[in-house]
Amino acid sequence: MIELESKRYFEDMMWTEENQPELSETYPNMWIAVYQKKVVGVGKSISEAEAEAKKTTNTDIREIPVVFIEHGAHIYWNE
Amino acid sequence: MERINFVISREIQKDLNKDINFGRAIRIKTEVKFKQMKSWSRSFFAIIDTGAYISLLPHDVWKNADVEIIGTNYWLRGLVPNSKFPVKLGRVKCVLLDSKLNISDGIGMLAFLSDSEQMPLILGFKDVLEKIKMFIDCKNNEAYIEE
Repeated sequence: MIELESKRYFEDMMWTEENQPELSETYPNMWIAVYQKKVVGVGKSISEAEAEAKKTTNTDIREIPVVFIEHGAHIYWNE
Repeated sequence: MERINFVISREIQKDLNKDINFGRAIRIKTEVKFKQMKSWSRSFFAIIDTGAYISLLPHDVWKNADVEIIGTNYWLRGLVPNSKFPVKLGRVKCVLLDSKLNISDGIGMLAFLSDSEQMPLILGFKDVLEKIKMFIDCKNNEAYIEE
């Protein structure tokens, strides 16, 4: 059985899209956790952002989107 | 036929707008979950990358997944010469989903597994994009797959 996220989760996810320019300036190349349209966790990894969000919100971390805020051009390829 | 809607992301990259009016940097994104030993992971936001021949997963994405490591001697490089980082080659299983809670069937795929965290999750062609019917119409803000 696959558990699916709530409507609020997707609203928070879309909030990161709508606020990308500001987030990109403030949190370049960092992972951020967003809850109720506020940044509640920041880190160099998903687990760092999740840990801070868990402390801040005391909410099930699976209900908090964690997004990588890419800044600048990146190209990844295999040698 | 199940339709999974993608998000057409329109980002402002200030450095691109320094000398010209570049406008928005467009990307197609989706939600994805990975199979773990006894359940499924949280959702992650992934970039649909039609320029990538294989998917790339940051460490936190695959560390708790039910993953079969196939090889370890691979390197991923960026634009900077002599700058590279190691990746593993592994097999994982995922589902794609959207905000309307449409969900795909399970997709078994080969992927590069990074030990680094500072990169987005990228879904490429191998076992994923090559097996789905994908529709992208940025002009009308519509992108989806149909299984």
